[in-house]
Order: sequence, then structure tokens, then C-alpha cells
Amino acid sequence: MTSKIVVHATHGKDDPERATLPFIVANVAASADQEAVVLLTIDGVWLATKGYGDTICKEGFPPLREVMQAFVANGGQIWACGTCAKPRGIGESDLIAGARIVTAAHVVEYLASGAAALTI
Amino acid sequence: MSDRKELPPADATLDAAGASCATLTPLIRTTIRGLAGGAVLEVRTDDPSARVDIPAWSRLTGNELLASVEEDAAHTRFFLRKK
Repeated sequence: MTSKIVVHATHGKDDPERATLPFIVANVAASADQEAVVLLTIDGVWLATKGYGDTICKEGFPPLREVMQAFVANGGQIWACGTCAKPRGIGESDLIAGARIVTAAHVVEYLASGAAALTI
Repeated sequence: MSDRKELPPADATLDAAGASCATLTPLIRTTIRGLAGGAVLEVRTDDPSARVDIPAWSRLTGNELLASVEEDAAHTRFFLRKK
């Protein structure tokens, strides 16, 4: 029973809880053999860049870095919104392993194919 | 699913005390990945929400939940067979 799940994240260091929880949920999904994607938009795109998330840790939560690494190791995908990345000067060479820049059309096509979306 | 007399012998045991819904099923996934198909993993938890999470994880992944034993209000032992 495999489904496609997109968890949407819009925050970075400004809100460690909102930065971390999408990856926790997505990692649970990936650990349950679901096709899981974290979609990063607005300031959330910074999470896809090297080193940015390394120091983010909300009390009571596992460190974001650990969750992101586990998520990717479990087959999860990290998508950074191209429209949001470009004005922030973020390119493919800035991204961590497992992350890539995607277009709006790509996201829409994925959702239209039956992926469920969750915004946190 | 809760008769101690019928508990399957475990090939491996995971002490998941302290794990929450954020970490429990990923931890099980990591542990069971190292077992052979058909092996039985006993998972010991102290989070009551595991009684919801582990059956759901079992249904999603196809790793069969053979039995569970509620030791008290919080502690539960689960027996999962790797598919």
C-alpha cells in the first residue's frame, strides 16, 4: 500500500518547530514505505541548503539535521521551490544531498497524479 | 493478540523506551531492515501512542503485527514479522 505524500514547509530558522515538524511527518511516511516529499517554499527553501539546518533544534524535538538525514536515507525527497530559491540566490550547487529545485508545474503535476498534500 | 502463552519467539529485540511518534516507527524501520525476511522483531515501548502507531505502520508496510502485550498503562511489547 504505497501512496504519494507531500508535506509542505514554509519556515526556516525563524520557526524551528515549523521547520522540523514537516520532516518528522515525512520521515514517518518514508519509514512506512510511502513515497514522501518535503516541499520547501518561501523561507523554507533555506532548509535545502548546505549547513543551514545543522543548528536548528526545537526543544522536545530531535535535531533537524538528524531528521533530514534519516528522511533522505529512507528514500525521501526534498523539493525546493524554484520560484522561491531564485530571488534568494539559491542554486543547485547550494543544495544538500537529496534535495533539488523544482518548478511549480512539476509540483502541480505530482499533486494531480494523486499525491496527498499536508501543510504544517 | 495479547495472550502471553502464544507469544512468538523473537529473533531480535528493540528497546524503544523514550521514543515518541516522531521517532518510533523510523527506529523500527531501521532495525527491521537489518533482519532477514520472516524474522520476528520484539519492540518494547513506553509511549501509549505506540498502540496506534505500530499497528498503522504494520498495515502500511506489510510487516505483520503478530501479537502485542500491554504490560501496564504505558508499556507495550509488540511482535512484528518482517515481510
